[in-house]
Amino acid sequence: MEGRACESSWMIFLLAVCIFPTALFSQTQRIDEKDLPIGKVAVANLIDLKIEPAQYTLSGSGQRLQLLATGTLPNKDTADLTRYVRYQVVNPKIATVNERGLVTPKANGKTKISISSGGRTAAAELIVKGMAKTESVSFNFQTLPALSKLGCSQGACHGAPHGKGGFRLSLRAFDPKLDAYTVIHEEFGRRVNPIEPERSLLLAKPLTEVSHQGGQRLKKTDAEYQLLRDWIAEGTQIDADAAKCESIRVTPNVNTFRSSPHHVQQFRVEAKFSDGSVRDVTHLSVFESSDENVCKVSRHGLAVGLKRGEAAVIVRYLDKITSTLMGFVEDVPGFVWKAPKPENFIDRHVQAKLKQFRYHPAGLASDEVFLRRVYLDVTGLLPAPEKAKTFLVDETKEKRARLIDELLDSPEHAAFWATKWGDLFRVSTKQIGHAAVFKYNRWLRESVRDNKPYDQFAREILMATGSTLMHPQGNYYRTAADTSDATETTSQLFLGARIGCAKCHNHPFESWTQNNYYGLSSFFNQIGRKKTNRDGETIIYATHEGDVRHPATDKVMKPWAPGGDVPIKDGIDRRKAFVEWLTSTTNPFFAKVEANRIWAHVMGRGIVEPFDDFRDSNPPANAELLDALADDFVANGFDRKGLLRKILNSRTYQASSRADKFNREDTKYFSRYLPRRLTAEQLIDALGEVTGIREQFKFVPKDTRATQLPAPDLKPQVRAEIGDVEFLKIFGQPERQTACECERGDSTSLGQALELYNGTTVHGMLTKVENRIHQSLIAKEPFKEIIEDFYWRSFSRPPTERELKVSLNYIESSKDGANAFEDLVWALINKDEFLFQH
Amino acid sequence: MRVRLPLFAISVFLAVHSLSAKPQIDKLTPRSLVPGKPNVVRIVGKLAPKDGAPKIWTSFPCKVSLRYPDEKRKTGLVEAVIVPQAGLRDYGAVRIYNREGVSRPSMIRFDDNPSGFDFTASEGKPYVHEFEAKKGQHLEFELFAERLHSPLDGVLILQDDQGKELAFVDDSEEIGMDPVLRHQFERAGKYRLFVHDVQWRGGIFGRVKIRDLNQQIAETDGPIVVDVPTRIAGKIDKAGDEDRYHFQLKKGDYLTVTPSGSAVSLLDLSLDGRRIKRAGTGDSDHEPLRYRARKDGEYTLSVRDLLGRSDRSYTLDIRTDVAPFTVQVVNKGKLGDRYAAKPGSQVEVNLRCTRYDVDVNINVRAFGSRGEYKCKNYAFGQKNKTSVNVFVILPEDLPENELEVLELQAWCEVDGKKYTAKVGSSFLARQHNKTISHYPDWLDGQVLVSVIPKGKDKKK
Repeated sequence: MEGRACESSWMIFLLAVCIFPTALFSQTQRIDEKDLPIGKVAVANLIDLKIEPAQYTLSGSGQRLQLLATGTLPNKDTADLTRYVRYQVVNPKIATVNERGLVTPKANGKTKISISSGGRTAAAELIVKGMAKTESVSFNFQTLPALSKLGCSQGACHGAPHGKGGFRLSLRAFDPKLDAYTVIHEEFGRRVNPIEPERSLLLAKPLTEVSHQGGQRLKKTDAEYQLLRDWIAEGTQIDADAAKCESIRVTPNVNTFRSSPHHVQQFRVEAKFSDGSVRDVTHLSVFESSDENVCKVSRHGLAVGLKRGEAAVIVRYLDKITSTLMGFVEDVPGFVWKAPKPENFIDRHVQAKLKQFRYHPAGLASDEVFLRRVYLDVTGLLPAPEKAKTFLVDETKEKRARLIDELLDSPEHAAFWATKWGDLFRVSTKQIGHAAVFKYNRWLRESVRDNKPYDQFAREILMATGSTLMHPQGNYYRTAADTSDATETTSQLFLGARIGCAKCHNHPFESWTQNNYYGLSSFFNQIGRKKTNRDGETIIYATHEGDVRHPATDKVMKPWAPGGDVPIKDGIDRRKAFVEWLTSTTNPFFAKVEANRIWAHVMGRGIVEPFDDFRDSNPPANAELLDALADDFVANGFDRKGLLRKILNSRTYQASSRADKFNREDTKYFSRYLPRRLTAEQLIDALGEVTGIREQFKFVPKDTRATQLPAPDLKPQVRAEIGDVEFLKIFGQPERQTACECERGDSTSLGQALELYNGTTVHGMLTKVENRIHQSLIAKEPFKEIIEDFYWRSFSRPPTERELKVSLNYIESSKDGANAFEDLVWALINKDEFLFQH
Repeated sequence: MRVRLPLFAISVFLAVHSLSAKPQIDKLTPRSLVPGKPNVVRIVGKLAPKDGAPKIWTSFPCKVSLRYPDEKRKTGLVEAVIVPQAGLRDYGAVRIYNREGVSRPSMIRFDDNPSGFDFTASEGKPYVHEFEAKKGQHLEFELFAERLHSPLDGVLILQDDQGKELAFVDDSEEIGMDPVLRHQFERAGKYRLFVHDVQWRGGIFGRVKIRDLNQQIAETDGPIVVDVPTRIAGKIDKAGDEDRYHFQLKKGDYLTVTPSGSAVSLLDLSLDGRRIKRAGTGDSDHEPLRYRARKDGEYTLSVRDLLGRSDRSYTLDIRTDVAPFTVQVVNKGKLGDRYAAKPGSQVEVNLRCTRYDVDVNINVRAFGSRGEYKCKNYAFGQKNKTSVNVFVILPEDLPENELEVLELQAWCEVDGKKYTAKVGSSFLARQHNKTISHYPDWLDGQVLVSVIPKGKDKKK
C-alpha cells in the first residue's frame, strides 16, 4: 500500500509545496505574552540605558507608539528591557504608557517619557497633536490591518481563493476595493450594522457570539475590537484617497543576539506612506517566527527565545513584509570550547557558529566511515572490498584528499551527479520521450564530467535553441512548457525562490509581488516551441514578439529581475538579458543557491533548508558560511567540482556522526555529520554489490546501476514489468514530475520495512543460486573468509571479533549452510550501518 | 496425450501458416547498391513460397535475377542480383510480393563508392567496428539509418585502442537524426567505432558510410531567380541574415512557397511593407506558405532561419500553380498498408481534404496499370467538403496475383484555372515505419492493391 501511495506522490509533493508554507504560516495562533515562558529577570547595574525613539510625534487619536528600552549589561552584552523598565510620563494628561511600552495619546501637547532600570535613566520626547479634530478610523490602514492581524484574511481562512463560509477577503488585504465591497455590501450588508455595531457579524463571529468555524479570534478587551467597532459605528467609511503604504521598517533591523536569561526582544514597526508620513504600526502588524522551536513572537511583537539558535522574525503590515534575524544564546553547564584545527575556511565559519551557540564540533570520522561516506556521496556506490582494504592500510597523510580527487574524476561521479540534475530538470520519458531522456542524460553527464562552469551550464540551458534532440538541454523548455512554468522553474532552480503564489496574488510570506512575477515572466514569453515530423522533437526558438500583461491591470509588463527593470534592446532574445543578469558575478542569488545545493547534497542538509527555498523568512543556518562558499565559488569561475572538493576535504564533512552531550541537540549547525538513509537507487545498487545480484534494468546496457539510470520510467509501457522497480518507488525515487528537490522522498515507511524484511527484490537477491553466497559455498571458500567478505562489502570494514564469533557460531550450528548465510546477509543489510550513510 | 495433440495441431497450423502468408523482409544486405553494376543482395525473411515464389518489386529501373540457396524449399533466404540503371542517385526501395501480399519497402542507397559497413544493433550492446587509421588521416563516418527508414536513432562513439573516448556524436545539424562523426587522427593505430541506438534497442539495422575527407570535392550553389514560378536556392551566411525576394502576383493567384534545406525556414510574406502571412512556426519541418492574393501587386518574401543560425542552405519552390488543397488517404487498408481486391471489383479508399481558401468541388481520379479507372463518389462537394469515400473500380482484365499500383489525383477548377494534386498516402506509408519523417515522391502517393483471384475471399 505504501508503495502504491508513493506512485502518485508527485501530486502530493506538488500540493505540499504550495500548501506547506501556507499551513505553516497561515494557521497562526494567537500568541499572548502570558503564553510565553518569559522569566522574571533581576536587572543588575547597567552600564547604559537607551530609549527608542528619542523623539516622536503622534498625530491623532488613532495613532500609537511602541517604545523600546535597551540596556547595556556589565559584561557589555545588550538586553531588551522594554518590559523590565519603569515608565513615567512627566505630563500624564498628554499620554499614557503601559507595561509593554505602548504609548496612547490623550491630548495635544508635549511631554517627556522617562524610563529607569539598573541605576540608569533615559528619556524620550513626545509631541501629541491632531487630537482636537475627530478622526475617523481608516479602513485602509486600520480596519484591514486589524482583520489581517486577527488572521481573518490569511490563506487558511477567508483569504483563501474562495474564502470560507461564503465570506471571502483578499489574501493579506492586497485588494482593498474587493474587501470594502465584501465587508460592507455583500450579502445585503449583513456583515456590518452601524446602528448596533456590537451586533455586526464582523464582530460577533470572531467573538464566537455567533458560531464561527475559525474559533475565537477576538476579545472585547483587544484594541482590534475597539477599532473595528468604531469603524462600523462611524458608518463604515472608506478613505479611498488615502496615501498608500510604501514600505515598512522594523527595529531592531540588524541581526540581534540575546543571551539567556535576557532572551527576549520587543520589535517596533514603522510604515512609510506615499504622502511622506511615517507612522508607528507595531500594534497593527502581524508577527511570526520562522522556527517556533527556537523562538515565538507574541501578537504585540515580543520575540521570546525558547532554545539556542536563530530564527527569522517576519513582520507584515497590509501586503508589506519584512524580516529580521534573531539569535538566542544560553550557557551550557560544563561546556568548554575546544575545536580541532580548521582544514579550510569552511571549518572556520562552521566553528565560529558552533562556538557562538555552545556546540562541540565532533571529532574526525574513522577511515572506514569516511571511505564509505565519500564513495556514496561522490559516486552513489559502495567501495569495493579491495579498494577499502588498500585505503585502510595506506598510512599517508594525503590519502583522503587523493581519494576525493580520484572519485571526482571517475565516470561514476558524472553519472551519479547527472541523475541529481535529472531529478530537477524532470528528465523522464513521460515528460520528454524515450530518445530525449538518453540524450539529455548524456548532456548532463558530460557537463559534470567536464566540470562545465556553472554559469556556462545555466547559460546553455536557459538559452537553448534548436532541436531538442540535437541540443538536449532544450528539453528544459519542453518540460517547462509555457511561460509560467519556465518562469517558476527558472526561479526555483537558479534563484532558489518559489514564486508560484505571486502568479495570482502578492506572495503571502515574501516580498514577491504580482508585478515581480509578471516582470520576470517577460523574459520567458518570447520562446517558441515548434514540433516537427520527427517523433519527440521540438524546436525551441526566440519569437521576438509578444508581451506579458498583468492579469489585473492589463498593463504590459517590462522585463524585471530582482533589483529592478532590465533594459532590453529590440530584436534581442530576452533570455539573453536575463542570463547576463543571472550569471553576473554580483548576482546575490545565483552562486549561493548552487553552493547551497552542492553543500546539501553531501551534508544531507542545506545551510538554507529546504535547500531550494531561499527567502527572508527562511534564513540560512550560517549566513557567513554560505556567503564564503558563494564567494569562493564565484572567485573560482563557478567551479563546481572545486567547491565540492573543498567541502569534501573539510573537517566539517569528515566529522564523525556520533553525537556527544554538547552537540546532541544540534541538527542544523553541522557540529557533526548527520546520518541519512541511502537513496532508493543507492540502496538497490548496494544490495546488488553485496549479494552479487545486480538489478537489471531494461533498455540500458547490462549491469547499468540504478544510480546511473537516465530516467526512472524507461518502460512505463510495459505494465507487467513495473513490479521490479517498485522497490525504487517505495524508497522514494522521484517520478520527476516537478522541479522540486522535495519530490525525492527521504522518509521511512512501513512499505520500506516490508521490502527489506521479505520483499521480492531482497528475497530474490538473497536466494538466487548465482548470488555471492551460493557461489562462495560452491567454491568451498572457508566460512570465515565468506563472512569477512560480506562485512567488507556491506560496511567497508572487517567484522569485529565478537561479530565474527557470533556469525561463525550461527553458520556452523546450522544444518543448512546456505540458508544460514542468507540469514546472516539479511541481518547485515538490515543494519542501520548498512542502510544509512553515516 | 490429451495435451500433446493440441500442441501438435498448433505446430502444424503454424508451419503451414508460415508457408502461406504475406512475405516479409527481415534483413536485407547490403543497403548500398552500385548503379550500373551487378549487386548481390541477400534477403532474409518470410518468403512464403506456398503462395507462389516471391517476386521482387523495386522503385527504380533495374534488372533482377533471383537465386535460392535452398532451391528445393525456397524458404528463408533469397539472393537477388540487382543491376540498377547507371546514374541513379539517392535512395530506392525493394519489396517482395506474392499473391498474398507485399512486404514493407526496404530502403537502399545508391552509392558509387560504397565503403563502410552494414550492421544490426543488439539490445543493450553497441556494435563495434574496428579499423586502422593513418596519422593525419581525416575520416568521416556517416550513419544511414533514418534515411533508410530504420527506427535506429544512432549514436557514434570513437575510441582509441586504450578505450579513451575521442569523439561522440548524436544527431547532426546537417542531416538530423543520423549522426556524422569527423575525426582527424593524431597518430596511426587501431581504433574502434561504437554504434548503438540511443535507447539501446536491438534488432534494428543501419549502415555507416566511411569517407576519407582529404578526397572530397566541394559543391557549388545553383543560380537564384525571382520570377514566379521559380525554384530558388539560397544560403543564409551570417547569423540573423534575412534574404528577400520580390515577385508579382495577380488577384486570385494561389501562392505556395515550399521550403526545404538545412535551414528551418521562417517565411514572411509582405505587401506594401506590411506582413500578411507567416509560415515556419507550425508543427512541421518545412511548412509551406500558402496565400491567395487579394490584389495585384509586388509581394515580398523574406526568408530567415528560425533559429537565427549561420551557414544554412535553403531552397524555395515558389509557384502559383500548386493546388490550393491537399488530399490524403486516411484509412488503413484491410491488409495493413495495402488493399486487396478482385479484378472488376471496387476498392474503397477513404480520403480527407484540407482546403486553403478554396470552396469549389474537388474531384478525384484514379490511374493504374491499365490507364484511368472509373471511380464512384469521387467529389468533395458542398456537403462533404473535407471527407469522402471514393470507390475505384478495377478493370476486369487485371492479371491475378499481381501488385497493382494505383495513383490517385485530385483536381478542381477555380476562375477557369485547373489545379491538380497527387493524393498523398503517407498515412499508409507510416504503417511501414513510424519514424519516417520524409517521404520520397514514389512512396507518398501510391496505393497498393493485391489483385486476388476471382474465386478467393479477399479476407483470407
